[in-house]
Amino acid sequence: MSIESFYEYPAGIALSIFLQGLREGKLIASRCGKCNTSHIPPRSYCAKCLNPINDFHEITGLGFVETFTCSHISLDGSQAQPVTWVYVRFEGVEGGLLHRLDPSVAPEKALKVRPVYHGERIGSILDIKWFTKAE
Amino acid sequence: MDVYVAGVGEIPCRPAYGDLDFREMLYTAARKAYEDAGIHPSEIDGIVSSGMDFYEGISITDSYTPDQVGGRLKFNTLVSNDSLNAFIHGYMLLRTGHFRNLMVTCYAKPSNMLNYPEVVLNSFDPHVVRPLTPHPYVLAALDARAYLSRSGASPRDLSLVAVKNKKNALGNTSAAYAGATTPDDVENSAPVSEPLKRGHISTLCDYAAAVILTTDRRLGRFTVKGVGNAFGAYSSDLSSRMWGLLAWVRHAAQKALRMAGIGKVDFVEVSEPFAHTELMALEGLGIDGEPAHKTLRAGGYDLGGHLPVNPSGGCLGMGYPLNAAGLQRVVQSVKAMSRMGWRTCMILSSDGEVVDAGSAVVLTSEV
Repeated sequence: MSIESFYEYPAGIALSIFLQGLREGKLIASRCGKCNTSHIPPRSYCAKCLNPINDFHEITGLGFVETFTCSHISLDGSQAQPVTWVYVRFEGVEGGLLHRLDPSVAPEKALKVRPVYHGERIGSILDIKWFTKAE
Repeated sequence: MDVYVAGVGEIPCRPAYGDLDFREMLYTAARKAYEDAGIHPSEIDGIVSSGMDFYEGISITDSYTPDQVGGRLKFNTLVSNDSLNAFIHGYMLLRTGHFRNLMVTCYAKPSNMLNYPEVVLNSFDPHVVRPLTPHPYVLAALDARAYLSRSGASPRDLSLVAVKNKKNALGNTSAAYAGATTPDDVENSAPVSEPLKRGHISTLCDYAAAVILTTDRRLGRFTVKGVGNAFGAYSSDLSSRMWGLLAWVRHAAQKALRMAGIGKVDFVEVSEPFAHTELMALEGLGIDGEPAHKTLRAGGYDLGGHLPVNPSGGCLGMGYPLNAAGLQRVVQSVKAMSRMGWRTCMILSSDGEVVDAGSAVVLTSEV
């Protein structure tokens, strides 16, 4: 027997701003007014000093690959065409984003990358098609 | 007030117990623990169980526990985390003085799960991680790559861990995946998510365990000398993750060692859902003085080495029983101290496959 469960998750204040930014083709981070720490995805509180946050800013600099993997497995456990996953961080910003890497790019640690957006965007992490090598 | 282990019981790891319900598995483990401790179920004051509803596919897991372990009309609580975390909760409850004997229980029946990767994915952020649908092994592989880069270890070191643990498991009748393998065998296994090959990943297993804790010295066979738990650098959206590190280990292990008043142990049992998990935990433990992969290469973690690690075979050799991995380590530690004459051990277990949080326990054979 299987009982399906259905949930809706409001994104909250900070993450809604992040998702709206993606719809506009922008990466939005939060900045703590007390300790000045920037964080992506943005938060409405500072995990360092627990200060409330209402300052959000666009990340205009390039990202860089902290770690990567070429995966041969799909979510159902079956063998799949290789997909390269990267964890991307940004200079001067804490946190980061998991996403896919442009398949035409060879992954390497510290590779400078930028997001590539889909033409039609809905306010989702999937508005980013993948990260690609920044020229 | 000292807390002792009075007895342990388990049902051996198997790929699947198709003929047994999880309650029947737990009943068997509990019966063995009572027999091992030489006490009657009526002498138990309460039950602390480890369980995760989303793994088990049932709600309010602790309501399924008391009947089959002797817990009816007694104190009953659930720790929704790894079972070493539940063990520490049992320890702390006993230290309140309100209880004399408690049983800590856990089970895992991943053979019941038809979509394990999707279930695990549900533990991550629904907005920034889940829509990407990475297999959980992708996240483990990101960790493995970062660990190798950070430490200077090589993928072959991960294979050495797998070979060592599968070999150690040959002497453990509770192990499901023992074997005499070579590093080449592991490296020739199917690529999963680079640098991880299939042989670097612990295979899931069905398992149940029960441990009786007591403050009654007459019942004690081993002493819980120190405990520690810490949440590391982790968040469900992965943004707090320090890739390639288990930040929790140093904090939890140092606390446990300080409580125990010792700086060294005779052996280590560490839950390792992936080969690199063991090395990352040993780096965090830091009682060896050398980078973990160098000690590994020199045979220092072998059964005959200066610090045997996972003499039971660990999860690579025994099978990975999800949240039951911590108590799996406790039971194997007790068995090893009884069989090998070792006097002290460090037990480490993370609160999940790729979570930076976990527990440390120091056990001694002195009572």
